Amino acid sequence: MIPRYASYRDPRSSVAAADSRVIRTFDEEGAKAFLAARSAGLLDDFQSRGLIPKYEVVSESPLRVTSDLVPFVSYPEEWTPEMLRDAGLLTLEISRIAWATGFHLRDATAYNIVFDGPRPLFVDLGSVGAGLTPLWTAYGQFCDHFLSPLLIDSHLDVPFNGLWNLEGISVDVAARLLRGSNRWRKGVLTNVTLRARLESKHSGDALEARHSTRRELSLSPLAVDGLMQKMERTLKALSFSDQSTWAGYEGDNSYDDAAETARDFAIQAFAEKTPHNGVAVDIGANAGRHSAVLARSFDKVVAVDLDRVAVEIHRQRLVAGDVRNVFPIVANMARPTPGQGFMNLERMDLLSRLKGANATTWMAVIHHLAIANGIPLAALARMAVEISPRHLIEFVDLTDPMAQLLSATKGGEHHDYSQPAFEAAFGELFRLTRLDDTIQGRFLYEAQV
Amino acid sequence: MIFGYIDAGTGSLIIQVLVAGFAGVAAFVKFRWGSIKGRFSKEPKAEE
Repeated sequence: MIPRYASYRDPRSSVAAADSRVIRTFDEEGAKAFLAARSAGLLDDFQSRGLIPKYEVVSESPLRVTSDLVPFVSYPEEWTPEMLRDAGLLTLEISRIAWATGFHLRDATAYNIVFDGPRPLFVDLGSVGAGLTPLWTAYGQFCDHFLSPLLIDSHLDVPFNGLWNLEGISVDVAARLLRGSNRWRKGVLTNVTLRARLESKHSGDALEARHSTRRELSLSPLAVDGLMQKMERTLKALSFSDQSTWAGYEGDNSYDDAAETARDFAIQAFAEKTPHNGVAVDIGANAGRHSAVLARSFDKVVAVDLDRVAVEIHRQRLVAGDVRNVFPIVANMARPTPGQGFMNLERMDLLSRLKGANATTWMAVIHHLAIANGIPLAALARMAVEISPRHLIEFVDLTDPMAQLLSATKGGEHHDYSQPAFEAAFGELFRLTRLDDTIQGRFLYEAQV
Repeated sequence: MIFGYIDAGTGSLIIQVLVAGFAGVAAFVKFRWGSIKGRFSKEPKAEE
């Protein structure tokens, strides 16, 4: 069993992974709350609505509960704002159902939510606490993890991703950003501006004052539910920018239909020749055309793109088509998400999470990484070998007008970039096969460790 | 589970009671009355 650092802060339960199962072990008090929620029918209710993973109690003392391991976990900074909103709405839905049944959520961190494909799941069964509380305990955390990042993203048109840390965006930072006329937007004045003032005003309260605030303040259960409902409405009312460099790419690029079809066939043939069809990674997935081909052969596909709008278009397509085995995420392979938190292991770096995939496709992305980001081809080959043993690579050389544009932007100042240089660099680590077909003069390569 | 905010800060508790009582705006105006008054008398366009 591999313990998960992600769970180390919770005194009531801890999580380990073994054989593609997650095992949660509860302490006595955590067990009481879990068993109460189960006998109240709350957990079955969540399960039948598809809000939580299917779980199984495997031991009563100590209480151990297992569920399927979601094969790839993405983190909030790799989500589109719409994904963060869906995660927030799921948290509120779980929270309100629990509240109506006489339970509360002990926290409201975005890391309680895991995207299983394009849809969110609430995975932290240890968060359900017995009984109602005098106030909405997790309100402050909900604001930091969901409301403030989404308000900033929507009203300032600043991607929340770059501002995100393990505790979302703190209220003092949010208040400094949402100033002027933005204060009057729905939900800002109370949940950000005034909350920041009150937090700062009371931050120096003595112990007795803190105790008395907690003793004396309370709301009726109906009023607490009203707060959560109001929060739902605030989140649903937000809209996000659809400005994008890449989102129109699939309908509006330099390839004709025949070239696109040839590319699809090449990907399909590559997938069919891959001996273990567990997980494929599609780097530069855009709105998911190639991921859809991969998803026919592979159990799971992680679709990586740096354009948030393209990723969201992709996700909406998956939701509409009820496709569950494709995981669209926002990330830049020139600087993949680093490991964060305690020991840098609380949230794993992206490469470690991709590691162990069976195959990877790099369709017309190597030139972006090599030229625009200045990464040597040999270094890209080393990254590729970390991810999976098999690769399909579309190599775009400097005769391509778009590659020339990238090169010109750098004033030609980049590492050696040519087909022989590519073959030499990847040939060091892979058995490289150039496919017979070219796509509009671009070569396709299969690389095998 | 992240456990940083298991107990919300004092300000986050007080604000809930204000919001729930539909007193959010009124409380803010009261809280900031001096500066709002000052701002409007000097620079009317500061808050649209």
